[in-house]
Amino acid sequence: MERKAIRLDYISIVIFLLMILLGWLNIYAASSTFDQTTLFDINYSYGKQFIWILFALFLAGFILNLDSKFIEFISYPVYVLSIGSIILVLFFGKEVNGAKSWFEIGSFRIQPAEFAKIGTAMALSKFMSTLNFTLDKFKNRLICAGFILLPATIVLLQNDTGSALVFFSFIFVLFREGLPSFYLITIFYSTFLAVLALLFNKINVIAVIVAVDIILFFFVFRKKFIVLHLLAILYSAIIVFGVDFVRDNVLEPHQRKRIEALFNPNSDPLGAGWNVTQSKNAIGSGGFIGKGFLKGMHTKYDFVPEQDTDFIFCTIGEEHGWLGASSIIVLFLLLLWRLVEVGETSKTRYARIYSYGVASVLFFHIAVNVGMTIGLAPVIGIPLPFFSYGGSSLFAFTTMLFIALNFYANRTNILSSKG
Amino acid sequence: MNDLKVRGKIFLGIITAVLCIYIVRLFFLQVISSDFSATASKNLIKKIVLQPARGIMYDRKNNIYVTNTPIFDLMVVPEELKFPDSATLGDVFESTLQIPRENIWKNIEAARKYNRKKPSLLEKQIDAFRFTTLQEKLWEFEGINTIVRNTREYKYPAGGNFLGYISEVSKSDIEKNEYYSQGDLIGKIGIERNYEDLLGGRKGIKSVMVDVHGREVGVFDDGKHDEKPIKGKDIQISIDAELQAFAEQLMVNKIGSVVAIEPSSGEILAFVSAPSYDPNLLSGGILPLNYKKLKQDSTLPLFNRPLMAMYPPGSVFKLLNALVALEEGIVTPGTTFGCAMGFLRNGGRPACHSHPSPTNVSGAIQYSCNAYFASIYIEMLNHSKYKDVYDGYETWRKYMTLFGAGRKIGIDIPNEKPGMLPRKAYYDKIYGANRWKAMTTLSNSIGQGEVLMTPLQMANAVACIANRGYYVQPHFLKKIYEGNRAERETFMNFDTIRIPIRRENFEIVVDAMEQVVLAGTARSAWLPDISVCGKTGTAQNPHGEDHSVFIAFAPKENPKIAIAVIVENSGYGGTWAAPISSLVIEKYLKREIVDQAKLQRILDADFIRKLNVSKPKKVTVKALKPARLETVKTNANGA
Repeated sequence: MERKAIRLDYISIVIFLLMILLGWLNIYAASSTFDQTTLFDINYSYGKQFIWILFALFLAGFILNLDSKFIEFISYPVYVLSIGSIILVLFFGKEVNGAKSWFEIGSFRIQPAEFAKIGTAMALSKFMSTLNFTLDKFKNRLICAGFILLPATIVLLQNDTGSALVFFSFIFVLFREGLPSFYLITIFYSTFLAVLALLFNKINVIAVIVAVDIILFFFVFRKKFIVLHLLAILYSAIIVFGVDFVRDNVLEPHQRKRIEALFNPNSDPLGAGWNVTQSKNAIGSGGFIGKGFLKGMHTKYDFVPEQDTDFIFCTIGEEHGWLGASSIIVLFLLLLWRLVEVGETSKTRYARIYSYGVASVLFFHIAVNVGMTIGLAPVIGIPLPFFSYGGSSLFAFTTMLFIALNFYANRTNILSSKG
Repeated sequence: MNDLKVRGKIFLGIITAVLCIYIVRLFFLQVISSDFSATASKNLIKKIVLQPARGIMYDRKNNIYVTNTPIFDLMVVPEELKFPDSATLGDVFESTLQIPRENIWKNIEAARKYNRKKPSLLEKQIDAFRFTTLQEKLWEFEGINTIVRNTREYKYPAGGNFLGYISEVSKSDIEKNEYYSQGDLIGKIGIERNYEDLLGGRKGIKSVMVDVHGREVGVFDDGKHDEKPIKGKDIQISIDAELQAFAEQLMVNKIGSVVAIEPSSGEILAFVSAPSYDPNLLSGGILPLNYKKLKQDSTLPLFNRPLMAMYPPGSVFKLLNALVALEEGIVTPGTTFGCAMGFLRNGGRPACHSHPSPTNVSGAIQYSCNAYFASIYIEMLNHSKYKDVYDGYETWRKYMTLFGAGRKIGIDIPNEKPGMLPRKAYYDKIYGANRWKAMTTLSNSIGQGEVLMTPLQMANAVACIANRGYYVQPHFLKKIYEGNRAERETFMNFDTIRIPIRRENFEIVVDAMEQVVLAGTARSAWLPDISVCGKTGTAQNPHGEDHSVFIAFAPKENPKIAIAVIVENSGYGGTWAAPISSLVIEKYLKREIVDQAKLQRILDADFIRKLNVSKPKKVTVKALKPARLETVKTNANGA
């Protein structure tokens, strides 16, 4: 049992520790009941968060000491378990805020969907790291899609749209592993078109698309592939005019309002636009350096709802200003860079694919969560990793991150065992 | 593999680009755009919920019956709380609100612990009387705010059992309907509950700008997004409030029910559950304490007897049996049966009393002859026109159902009980399938045995007889006023059903009912100038002395009122229930009572004292202002 050169990725670990510490302090600031109690009072959210942080640290240490091979080995069982638990919660779960996605044991609540992300990342890595795997085969693409869509669908049935959408971030992993660029481009292009269609006159949008395509047709493609060009225009038209149909027939009323509020917060300033307006006001009032720790007035008067969970970024923005908010984003960016680095330098496919999976999920959470607080993304209730109050998400993200760091730490062992 | 490495870089590029856009956006929001920081630092938008006024209830004579009265919740923001000194604070609250100063300090301490920056409840549901005295001194303090809510005020101290009450919405109601939020008042039982949607109105919302200290500095966006609260609709209920109060007075110190219905419309005129209580006891801040006391009272004043108590109807059931037998051709008006102080064919049971014999159907009703009704019941079930005795029984049962026996009649307040009218299967279960005979269920003939009816069902049945066969759905709601009371009224339409019994048969029974009062078992119900038609009942029961039952209507032609009265454990129907009925009828039709001796005798009667179930303990209910000092009527001396 000789273990060779365990090399921890200290940068990631320091970032992780910094984040959970800052998260804890901001939850303290966001819960306006601070003056008579200490940070450790477990009657309040910050006190509970402290306990969860202790658990998370223990969990992190435990995972770092696991055998990498073992983690790889249990990939499928973990996936099956997590699928099982989200199915169970569908029947026996407790409904919170309209989503039936929580198990309640005594006074504790667990949200299995958070852990299903880990299972999916592991199973996907396991499947894609089998010998001779290639995404060139259409069948393999379908199986990968199945791995992702199964939990996404079940979570959607729990009425937890936000968590369901997170699973789509795995598209980045597939892209990195050779999924034709066409897919990613189509998704980005469609989203872009949908946004244009919601913002501007639809006829004008189509006219611009046709004009651009004509220029491309004559000058870039030199009059080739005419059928493809026509198909592209047809597809664009379907997207542009189909947006309204989806908005009116597929989305639920509150989701529709959130989309509308994104483009025009004044359309419903006290309803769906309320959170966004208040959140932007809170962040905006922070100025360059912020009002200082515990001095946030929006925080104090509780003007932004769910301030210790989904809207924790408001507290950061208000109390620590642009400097603080940007620093947090930079911290996240550093962590994501490290994760990509961990993936690219790993010696097994499994480790690489898994690291990308973690990076993708984290990125999606950050982009959507921060985006909604500053009015750049619709209001989707998903937590800000390591910051938002809540045990389930903290444990899930800690596990996720430290599995990746385990691979990094043990990469030389794998080398030596192979060599 | 090189191509894929590039893709890793593309991924990095995308995340870097997105997060950089966020940083730039933040720079715009926080540093460049003065717009956000200006509105954000100076003014915050605060949403204020505006409570609607609840709909008012008028009685059938257009008197205001139930109206609104403001009550006040005091809220404290611990951080802003300022007061001259703690002794002053204690003095002020102790003297004006009549609550011990320790309670006030306890609440302030609890508020501090809960949240120093948010308003917490200091004292809730303070009535206007106490609040005005406090208000003069409130200026001495900072950090104490007031919330005004509407609670109910009842102009007549009667009718709590069907009016219901309003109180704080329950957690499960909030979960079911997100319109409600904590502290809202909603109808809990009775009319308040049933017509919550009409009476409740719609909350409004106001957005105001507040400064950093939480003070209002103006209206947000010219009030464009404000919604005015919509007042609940006013309604008229069918109850005659004065009659209701009178009937409750008659029933003081008695346990039982009075239900009076206008036969032609099905409108309920009086609906007494005795012992009754003043509905004002269940309004505002004194509700929880009084509710507890009423709940614990051994006479069960909260048990809505006309709706929920099920009694053997006793002899009043004979009227229905007579109608069925006549209609089915089992007897003709001339058919007679003998009576030998009892029903001979069954060894003298049921027993009967001394009266002229033999009798026809009219005489049998007049003298309430048990043997006669036992005979026709047996004749009917064994009649050859039916396939077998069970077919006969089901036919009989169907008629009874048409009068409303054995089923919920669908009155417009909740918690109605169906009574009991056994199906064939019920007897099959007891005696074995097809192992029972007509004689087995003989008690049905005289309204004893398995048959149970609520007072409401009895009143409804006699209303059907008064209508000579028209069944009009009984109800409380008379009119709904849209907006201004003079503007538009919606009359309520309720079902009318024709019971398939010929009018001439009703006339026979009605004539006999008149004889009951003129020369039969209910001479105590006789009134000068008003032809009362009635039937006594004396319901045997395992709880002690018989229940006194009487059903009646008046006048004989074109009836205006049908009534059922039950006085538990008091004796013969003719002794108590009949005179009470006549007094209610007289009050309703003439508005005054001629026979003061009769009235006094009823007012003096006390059956609760006689009962061992309830030792007359003085239940004084805590009331906080002198005007509200009431005792539960059970024990108040009615005279």
